[in-house]
Amino acid sequence: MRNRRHAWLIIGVLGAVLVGSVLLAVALGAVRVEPLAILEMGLNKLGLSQFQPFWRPADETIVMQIRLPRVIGAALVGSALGTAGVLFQGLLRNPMADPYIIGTSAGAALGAAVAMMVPLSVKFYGFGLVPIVAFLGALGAVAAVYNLARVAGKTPVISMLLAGFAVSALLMAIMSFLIFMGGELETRLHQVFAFLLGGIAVTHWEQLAVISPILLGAIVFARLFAFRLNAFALGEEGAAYLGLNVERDKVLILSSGSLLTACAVSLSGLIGFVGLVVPHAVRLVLGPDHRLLLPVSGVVGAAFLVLADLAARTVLAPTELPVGVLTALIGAPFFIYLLRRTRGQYAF
Amino acid sequence: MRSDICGTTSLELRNVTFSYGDGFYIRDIRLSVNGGEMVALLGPNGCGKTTLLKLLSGIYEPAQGSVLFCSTDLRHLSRRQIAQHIAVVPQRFDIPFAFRVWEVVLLGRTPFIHLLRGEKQEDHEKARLSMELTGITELEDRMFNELSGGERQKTMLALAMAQQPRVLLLDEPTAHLDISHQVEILGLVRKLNREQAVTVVAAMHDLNLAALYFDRLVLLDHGAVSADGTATMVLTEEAIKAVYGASVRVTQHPTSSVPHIIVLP
Repeated sequence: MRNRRHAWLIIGVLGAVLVGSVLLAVALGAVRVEPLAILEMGLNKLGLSQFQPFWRPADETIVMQIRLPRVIGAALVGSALGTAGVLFQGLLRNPMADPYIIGTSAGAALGAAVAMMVPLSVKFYGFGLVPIVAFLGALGAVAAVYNLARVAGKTPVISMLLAGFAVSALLMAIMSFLIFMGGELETRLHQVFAFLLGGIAVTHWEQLAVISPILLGAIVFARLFAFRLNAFALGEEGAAYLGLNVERDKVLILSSGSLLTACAVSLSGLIGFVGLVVPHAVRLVLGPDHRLLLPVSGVVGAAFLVLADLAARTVLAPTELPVGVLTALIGAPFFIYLLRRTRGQYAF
Repeated sequence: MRSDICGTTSLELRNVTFSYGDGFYIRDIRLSVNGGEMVALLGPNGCGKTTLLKLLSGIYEPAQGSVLFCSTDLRHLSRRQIAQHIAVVPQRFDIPFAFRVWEVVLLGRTPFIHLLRGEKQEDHEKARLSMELTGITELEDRMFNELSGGERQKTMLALAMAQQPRVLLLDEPTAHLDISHQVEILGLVRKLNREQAVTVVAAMHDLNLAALYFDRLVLLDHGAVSADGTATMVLTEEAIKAVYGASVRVTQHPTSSVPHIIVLP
């Protein structure tokens, strides 16, 4: 990234692609709405203009109350997963790392399963009990993994990977046990399965109002660590020779990545593949420099998930597919194409 | 060229003891290295060369005694402050990502880059200068992982020099290199030592190369200094027999006034 103008150009172009994806996703569905109408509605709502509505009031309700929050939710989740994937792959120096690797998915899944069995109706800024407990479960699991891997003031990444694997297995076993013993097996299985596959569950603007400051704050915070993540490529000892306070930076990078993942989980359940594939795809095209990789993966993740969610609700309409199925269906072949294109010389 | 602003002594080990657990690895070592010196640490595998380098870089903290840089105890300096003065080229480094040489060298500026402000033009200039010093300017856009062993070692030296260090610690800089690259790397290190006034402390396995390129040799045996001085003083048949347990004949190097060691099988 020696040419800053070059970097800004890439981010600008991808930003335009993201805006285009959002417009497309809001326009399409059971009822089609003109993109121009969407733009004018949006500007009117923001108080920036007073266009005469040439659209039906029902269209405005569909756009403003149903589609736009969902599409923006998808963009936020995608950017969170793309960014978190880069953070975990970079910090752990592991190509298989994704946002869920050190326990977030299992913690969230167990949390969700427990919440589903509690006959308690909670409404907190548009969130039900399931996303709230899943959010806490994800963060709790990472905290447990980090502390279990910590020996004599140090938390080697390899210990963290292994502890993450063990804790995940344990939590998933507890979750399976709870579902199996809890009664109403079929209903529970269906609910849990839907959570594991993931789907953008944003129905209220309030949800976005709560999550987006945390999520965007974590993305901005993580970007500060881009250069240090490059130094982490030399290993923890190498990073220490370059003057980093390795343990402190590790905690900060892990915390922001886990917070992003937990935010994503609370809006959408466990959407796979975005956090794994997007960073790899961006790295293959633009190289591994985190100063460019972090922001670009966020934008690409957002656009990718917006389009995947659009496909999830339109391909087999009126049946809605779980978006996790779509992300794997689109992401896996694309990833294989990228791998093949480098003719087996893949250094990630 | 920069003058050494902290007087003559650059690094000092004051009665340093260190152990990994049960056995003692470093026993009560006293050693002082002057600014601008070029010192080789010698000794058999497991004698404490690498451990000593880690103590000198502050990665390990001595159990007893203290390590001083410019009369300041390393314990009183942050990692960032240490890295602004002491650069380390470890024996093993692997970078899992496809970084380019330029990006790797720029990492040498890490201890100077502020978290919020990011890197400055000055950092780019210093990284560029460091690549010129080590003669790798033409490699800048190559993938680090695709370089040969010698090119990698030069890149790591460029990274270290981008820190503009007063002290360069090298852990077996010629390991896994062929003869011509061994000579090239040591020649480069000596050039940096002479022209950039960088103090060099290097762990070395090859006694003959150490004799040829280093002004001062320190022979370690079971975590203690067994001989310290010029090549002629340190590399004697008796000392090598005692420390390495190997029978050798010490002769004169044909073109240089240093001892040359021939192994007797």
